[in-house]
Amino acid sequence: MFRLDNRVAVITGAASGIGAATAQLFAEMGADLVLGTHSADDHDIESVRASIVRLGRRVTVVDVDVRKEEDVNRLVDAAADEYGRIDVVIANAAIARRKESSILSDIEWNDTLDVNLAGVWRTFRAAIPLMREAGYGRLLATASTAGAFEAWQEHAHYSAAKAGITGLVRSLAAELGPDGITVNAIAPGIIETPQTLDAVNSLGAEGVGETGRTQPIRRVGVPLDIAKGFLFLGSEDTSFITGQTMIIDGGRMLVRG
Amino acid sequence: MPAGRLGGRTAVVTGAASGLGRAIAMRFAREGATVIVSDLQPEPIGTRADELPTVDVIDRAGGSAVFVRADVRQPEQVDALVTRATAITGRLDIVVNNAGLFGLSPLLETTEEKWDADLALNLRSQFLMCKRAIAQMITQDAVDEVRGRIVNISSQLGMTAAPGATTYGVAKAGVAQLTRQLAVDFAADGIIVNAIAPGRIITGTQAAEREYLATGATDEATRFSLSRTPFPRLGRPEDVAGAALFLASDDCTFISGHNLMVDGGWLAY
Repeated sequence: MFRLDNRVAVITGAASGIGAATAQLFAEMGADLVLGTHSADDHDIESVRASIVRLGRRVTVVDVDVRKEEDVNRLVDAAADEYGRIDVVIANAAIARRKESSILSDIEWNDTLDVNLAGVWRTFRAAIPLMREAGYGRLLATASTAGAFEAWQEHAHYSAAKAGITGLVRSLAAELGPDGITVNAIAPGIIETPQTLDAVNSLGAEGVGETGRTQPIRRVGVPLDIAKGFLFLGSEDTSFITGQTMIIDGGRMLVRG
Repeated sequence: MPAGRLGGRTAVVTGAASGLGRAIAMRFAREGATVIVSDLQPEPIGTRADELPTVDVIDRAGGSAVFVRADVRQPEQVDALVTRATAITGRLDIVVNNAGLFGLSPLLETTEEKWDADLALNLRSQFLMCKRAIAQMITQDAVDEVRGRIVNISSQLGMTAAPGATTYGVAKAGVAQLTRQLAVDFAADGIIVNAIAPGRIITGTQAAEREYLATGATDEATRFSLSRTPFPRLGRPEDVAGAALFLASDDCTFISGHNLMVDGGWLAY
């Protein structure tokens, strides 16, 4: 159970953090993978690829800028061409850029919304026709506790985009339910990833460590905690769960949400 | 350790003779758990009374289960249930608080006695089970940081109001808050507490539901539910069992206090 044998999953932002952990867990559970990576970022997709190959699964890596429709379509086409199917999409690619709001430019606002919200939409959109044809699909996104469930100062653009994902999955769930496609998101709390460890744009190691001492479950969240949630939501067992944003945060929102 | 996601684990499922509890017990047993099937009587209720008791179904499939008769409204019976379950391996790993009963209770027709009785069945019972189970769980050694997992069955009707569902809705909203409270209070002890809020699940214990399952014929209530559900079908007990398995399994490591809706998108819509 919660296996993904011979299922095909497309994952964006797969070179690090939550995306990489999800790719690895999915491969362990029998899935073949099409991984989107943004080569301009300094992440090591080759180690992710190698670990999947070691697990005996097939993997295709595509360089993708989720701001570009043609890139996203190329990613999804790679899955269709090489594997003939797409069972699961994990729209996970995102950026966090700290900026005080009175000096947040239109360009910066648009850029974050373009990656974090429209990027999710573009990835889902590209996969819908094939899923609809199959009468089966799992469209999943990485949201955040920031935005829909809590404030994040100097991250109005990030928060707005991530809160937008909760509305996106709700409405798509209603629209695509008749096609047998479920649409859900996970809102991670503070998870130790390259993004959160960035002290300039996010909490940094100290801030991340502090949450591990104060939140109800007294340890720092790790990418595998989120990957296991995606495994559940990506499995056949969740055909009646749709439109949800599942919080995985060690209980932090319960006491300060 | 026996194979399966719950191999070697002891799980109590209340209200497990019928419906959701029965499906959860059967799924847990398939995943290797020793399941304590608790209910007022071993046989399924309603139009499914002719079917085999849950423990016999599990037994025939090669699983491990025992029936323990318990009225979870009674503290001493809750004590006995937890003691009996713990005696098997010395641990109580999983509790699913599912026992309860839906019924309408329009305010002006609801007596004080009915209010008390309905809340005792649908909310106080879960308080009693959580209290007794957590008292046991916190004495156990942690396995991968976790001493025990509790899954409380709440309801969509605790999050949105349906006409006349006064006592049931209040009780189930209470279950969701009890879940959040205990998740916070016992997280540091390694107790993970989550809830599932089922939407319209067709258990087949009522005549109209059985008819729908057999022939697809719909009554007015079923047609309304279908019109409100993005999914092209209504829920099955197995949908809830899959969610319960996730929340009871080692895959549920950093999630606590969550009220997971299994409703085919009803509330999202």
